[in-house]
Formats: sequence, C-alpha cells, structure tokens
Amino acid sequence: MPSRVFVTGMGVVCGLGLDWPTLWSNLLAGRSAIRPWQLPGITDFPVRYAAPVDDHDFAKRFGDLPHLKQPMERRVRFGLAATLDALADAGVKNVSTLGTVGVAVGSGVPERDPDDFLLALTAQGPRWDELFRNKAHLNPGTGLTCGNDALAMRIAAHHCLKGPVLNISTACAGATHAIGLGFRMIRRNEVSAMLVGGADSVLNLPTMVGLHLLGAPSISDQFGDRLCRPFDKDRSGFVAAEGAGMLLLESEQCAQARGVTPYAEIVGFGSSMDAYRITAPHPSGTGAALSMQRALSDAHVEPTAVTCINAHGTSTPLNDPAETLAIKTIFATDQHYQRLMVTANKSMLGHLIAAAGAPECIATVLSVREGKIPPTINLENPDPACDLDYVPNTARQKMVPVALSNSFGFGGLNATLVVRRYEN
Amino acid sequence: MRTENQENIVVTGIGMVLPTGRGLNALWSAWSTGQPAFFPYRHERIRTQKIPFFGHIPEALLAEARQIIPHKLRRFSPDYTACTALAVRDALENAGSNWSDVAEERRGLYTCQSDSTSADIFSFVRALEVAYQTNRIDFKKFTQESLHRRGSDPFLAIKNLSNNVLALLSLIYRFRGDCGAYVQDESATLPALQRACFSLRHDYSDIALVVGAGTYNEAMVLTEHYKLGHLSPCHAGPHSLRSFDCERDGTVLAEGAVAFVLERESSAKRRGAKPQIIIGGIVNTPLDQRASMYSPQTGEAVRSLLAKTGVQPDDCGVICADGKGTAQHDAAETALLESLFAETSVSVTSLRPILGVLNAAGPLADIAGVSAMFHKEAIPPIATLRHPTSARIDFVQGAVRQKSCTVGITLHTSFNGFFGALLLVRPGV
Repeated sequence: MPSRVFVTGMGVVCGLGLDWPTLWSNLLAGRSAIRPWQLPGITDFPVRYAAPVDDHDFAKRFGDLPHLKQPMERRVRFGLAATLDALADAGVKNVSTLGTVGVAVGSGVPERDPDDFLLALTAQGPRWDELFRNKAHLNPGTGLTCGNDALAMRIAAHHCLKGPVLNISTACAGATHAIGLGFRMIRRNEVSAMLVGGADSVLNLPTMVGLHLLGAPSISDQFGDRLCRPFDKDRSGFVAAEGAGMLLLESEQCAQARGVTPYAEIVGFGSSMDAYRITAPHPSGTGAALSMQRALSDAHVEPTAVTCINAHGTSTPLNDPAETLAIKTIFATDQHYQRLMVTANKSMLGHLIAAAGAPECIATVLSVREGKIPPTINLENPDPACDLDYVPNTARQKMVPVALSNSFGFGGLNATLVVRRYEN
Repeated sequence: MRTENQENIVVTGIGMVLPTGRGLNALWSAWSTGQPAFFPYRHERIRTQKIPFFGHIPEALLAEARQIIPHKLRRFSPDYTACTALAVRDALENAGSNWSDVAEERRGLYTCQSDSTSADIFSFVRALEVAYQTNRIDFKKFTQESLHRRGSDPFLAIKNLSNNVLALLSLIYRFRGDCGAYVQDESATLPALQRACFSLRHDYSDIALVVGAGTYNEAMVLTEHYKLGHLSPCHAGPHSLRSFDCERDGTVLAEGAVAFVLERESSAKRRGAKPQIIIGGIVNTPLDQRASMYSPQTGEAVRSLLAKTGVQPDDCGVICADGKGTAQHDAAETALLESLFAETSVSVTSLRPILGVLNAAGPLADIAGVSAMFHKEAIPPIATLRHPTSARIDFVQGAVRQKSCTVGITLHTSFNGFFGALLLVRPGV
C-alpha cells in the first residue's frame, strides 16, 4: 500500500534568507538577492552580478555550531546548516526516532580552491612532482578532499542515518531529482523519512570560468541588479547564486505518529531526458513536457487541477520560450495554460544550479499552504514567445490546491514535482 | 529463494571496456589465466615514478571507442565517456536487437561516476602556464587567458558537471525516460542499480540502462590516494595487487566502463531476450566509521540481505569479494567474511588483482564476473594470493575451480565510507 508523503520540515540558506520565513517574506515582497559581485582579486571578470550568501550573516546565525567549523566546501557548510534547520523546523531532535531515514542530495561541480593550482606550478608550468612535494598544503576544505558526495555523507554521519545515501548530479535538476527520489522511496515504503534537497556554490574561479565559457551567465550591464529577467524580452542569461535547501519528507504514518501538521504533500514526480543537445534545451520543450506529463500521471492529477507552476525560468534566451511551449503542450486542454500562474523565483534568488530546485520546492510548498504566489520580478518587457501569466512583479493571493515545480538541467535532464495542499 | 520483490529484475545485456579489453570474454580470459591488466603508468603530462602501474584501457581500444562518439559530440567527451558509449553499444547489442522496440520515453538511464572524472588541473593548463609568476598565480592574467585566448577547456563546465555520461548517452542512444546520475565514487553504482530496479518494478521504465564509468587518472586524485598510502609500490610489477594476502602492500588504480541492460524478467522473456543474471537484492549503507576498519554494520547488512531473500549463508556458492589489497581494507573484509562464511563451503574470489580499483565501473564488473562464473560453472582464482589472511575462509587459489553455483554475492567497500553487497541469482533457479 503506497504511503502518502508529507513535507514536515524545511531549511534554507541562500542570498534571500537563512531560514524559510525570511526567504518567503522576501519572495512575496519581490526583493532580490542579486547584487554586484566580483571574484576575489579579479576586477575585470565579465560576470559582474550574483546572488551570494552573506558570510557575515551566516557566521552570525550558524557560526557557533562546532561541526560547521571543520574544513569543508561552502556548499557542504550551507547544506549542513539547512539540514539542521529543516530538522529543527520539523521538531525532530533525534532522527533515528523516525525509523529508517535516508538522505538524497543534488550537488553539482566540486569546488576547487584556485590556490591549489599553485601547488603544482613551476616556471615550466604545472608539474606532477611539484604537486607531490606540496601535497600537505592542499586545501582540506575544498575539491579533492571533499568528494562530490561529501554533503550526503556528512548528513548521514552526523545524524546516524541508516537509510539510503544518494548524491545526485543531474546539473540544474539535481535537487528536484533528489526530492523526487526521496518521495518515491517513502511512497513505496522503502524508508519512513528522507532528508532531501540540494546544495551548490559555483561562485569560485574555476567554475565561473567554465560557466562563462559556455555563455550561460549574463554579462549584460544594462539592468544592474535587475539583471535576472525570466520571460522578459531583454533577458540575457542566468545570474549565478549559491546556497542550499533541505526538506524533511515523512510518510503519513511517521508524521501522524509524531502528531505534526504537514506543510504540504508531495504527490508526484517525473523525470525525463531531452536527448537533443548537451548545451541547449529542445526548442519545443518536448523533454520538459514529458517530465511534467510523467509527474502529473504519477500523481493521478488532471492538468486542469493545477493552478500554479514554479517554473525553471532561468532568464536564458533558450530556456524560457521552450518552457513556455512545454507548459502550453501539457495544459492545452481548454487552453488551461491561460489560467495558470507561472512564477520564476530565480528572478529574485538567482540560479543556485544543482540546488535550485530545493528553495523553489520550498516556495511551492508555501504557495499551496498559504495561497500566495511570489512574483516574477523584472518582467517589464514581455517576450511575445513567452505569453503566459508569469505573475509579473507583484505577488498574488489565490488558492493553490496543486502546483508543479520544474527544474531542467544542462544535458537535457528534466525533473518535475507535484505538490498538493495538505488535507487531512 | 525469493527476491526482494516478486518481479525479478534481470540483466539481459552486458558491455564493458576495461583494461582487460572489450567484453566479458576478454575479462574472463585474463581472470581465469591470472593475467593482471596493469601497465606502466602513462599520462600526457604527468611523469612520475611514484605510480609505477595503472589499469589503463589499451590505446587501440581507446581509439576505437573515440570513433563511436558522433563527431559533433566529441568536444564534450573525455576518453572515459567514449569508453562508456562503446560499452553501452555492446550491452545493447548483447541484449538483442529488438530492445529498440521499447519507446524512447520508456527507456530509463542510470549512470554512476566518481568525482575523479571531473575536469582536472590540466583543463586550465595553458592559462596556468601564462599566469604563473614566481610562487603565485596572476589570477587576472589567468582569467584573461582562460576567457579570451582559449587557455582553458571551453567545455570545462559540461565535463565538470559529472553528468555528461548521462547526457551524452541519452543523445546517442535515444533514451528519454526516467533518469539519474549518481556521483559517489565506487559507491555510486549500487544506488544506480537500486533506482533502476525500482524504476522497472514500479513501471516507470520498460528497459533500464545502468552504466558505471570513470578513471582515477587525474593528477590531484592520484596525489590524494598516494598521500593516504593506498597505492602499492608495485615491487612485483603487474602482479602487485595481492588481495587477501598477508604480504599485500596496497592497491592499483584503474579506469573503465561497464554497461548493463536491465529488464523485468517477464518483459525479457516476452521479447525473447536471454536473462544472464538476476539481481536478487542490494544493500548499500554508509559506515559509522572509516571504511578501512571492520564494522559489525557490514555483517548486519549482509545478514539482512540474506534474510530478505531467504538465502542461508551455505546456499551461496561464491563470493566475489572486493579485495582492494590495502592492509586495512582487506583486514576489515576478511573479518566480515569470517563473521559470515567461516567454515562454510562458500568460495571466495576477487577480480581486483586483475582489474584494480575501477571506481564506479568496479561493482558492475564484479556482477558480470559472477554471471560468467554461473555460466561457465567455474571460479577463477585470486590471481596473486599466496598467503591468505584467513585459514577459515575458502579463498580460491591456484587454478580455476570447477563449481556450479546458483547464488553469488558481491561485496563492495568504497574509499569514501560506504559498504554494499549484491545478491545474484542464476537464471532458471
């Protein structure tokens, strides 16, 4: 007998807040975390805006926690903090009391300290023997010594988890895949609860060089901190961000036994691949459409029951019209797409890359719980190819019984969650 | 015996590109004759005496693999990706041509890689060379060189995202269904297999491709393993990885790709495909302590796997153990084997002395090895074993042993602190 799956705790660390109430109030107010930014010591890097986590605020909020003081990547630190917050939010002091609990995390590119390169360098260029000679000086907090699954492993170790430990790397769809897999495992009674979400930080030299070489982040200086403009005619690329979002998912039995009132219910998950191009989505959005269709089918939800979509909405020239077409395809019956509210949180959060789906899922959960939809800000000059109701610039209040949250990644990897308002 | 769920999940296609060559026959030939596939270490830019041997894919095979990547996709494809694509082609052919009747949307793809496959220091080499000044990097110059003069690999981000195997394979072989990319060192493989089985059992897919790939041939990764004392100095040349031997002195790292086609047994039978092995059950658990120390948790995990599937320890014909060859890992694994299989008739062998540590492809190679043992009714020896770590375990030494087995177990302990075990069943039992 499949179990219902509830969201009972949420934690977030991002430029827009270090807990979900702050994130939510900022999203509803249309505030942006995007600000002028530069790589340390490099004044002429073409990417000039980002949405970083404020280190001072983070240290003030989480600095006393001893296990966050160890050497680790930024994303791991953010993820551990978000996990602690999610558990505290759920009122869980000892995870083992929940039964078999696992963790699934979406993560992206390992962080590598540029100074580590120096250890290999000689006047003749990088040399292996030089690296050997200097191996003791490799930064213990980044890259090599922190595997890509470091966050998942640390969460499992810190909370003595006995369930599955998954690190998923499906680019910008990573966190949504992680949440979806956790949902599936609980629904099929493999586990009683899962810590799910994502963490990422791309705001370092090697990764930003790589992303810029692909032409993905915007380098426009036309709009200042209003640079991230999903579905706007003048959009020119994403704005990179960093952070983490973690959710505690529990089976109905587990949540009931604790007597908690869930925030919302996850009822469906779909994933798909475009099989089109490595660096571009299918222009018709066929992969994205398939992902949404599979999620709705998984949830046994008719498209007409959906009122809101938390879009991937990256503000890139290619994603936004493709996602619009995909939505039109799936919600074609009675032109239901005309009645949908489609919001793009990235206009305020920036793009958390592999972690993006986590705070966006949290926002989706809060939309169905509170009947409020955050706006897509900076939508000033609508693109004719993007002709849906994107909740421009001002939040809206409306009942949201069922909502989708979309994430689409490089390589044509797509994932969609279906979130339903909790009803006992 | 019963599998964890009622519907059996079977492997119907196997493909591999390994240091032993292409395909299961090449692996079997090396394994049964005790010929390690380790070669003097090579790298385009690294010169070192500290890594004497490595499990390299033979050059000719690499060249063959590169050819099957469509030209327009080659710029995104490091060598290990090309090897993966070749392994997948072989696995799909092995599964029978009518696999392609399955709709693209019903084809699931689950890949596993390790971090070591991410872009390495040499992706930046030109920019670094230009930007180097005595004891410091001029990052301004580095940035200019990287961004404007192609001083860095332009597809760095794609290669570095660690999911490029998933993306490339979906394009080349038209897989558009359920998917996942797991990046967890060697321990990525079992979650990928678990999710593929889950997807098939719960009707999210009709066919599932599970692919493990990667290489340890990356400067910083090798440095770290050397620093941790994992690597054998290889005084005995290619015969230096001595799994479960009292005189073992470390492991040999390697590279490779293995691909499996998985199906529900009923679907496989309907389309006339031949099941090669049944995935009976999987456990995968993080360890409370370092992977190189014996943990009672590992014993509990295997016991729970046996209990779930109704198998008694004596029912197991063969264990394909990990046997990394490091002092600590093999001591811990020996203690595990003694706790479960001491004084039983269970035979224990290992592929590591032949293949080395393959990261994400390793556990799939072990499963393929068990499949071959079932089929050939024979167990190859642990090639380099002379002085076993335990007299209470039936380690297979010397010649190939003739033995018909119906149930086998593979054991996996990864460097990053996971333990996993798979229970495998011979089809038709």
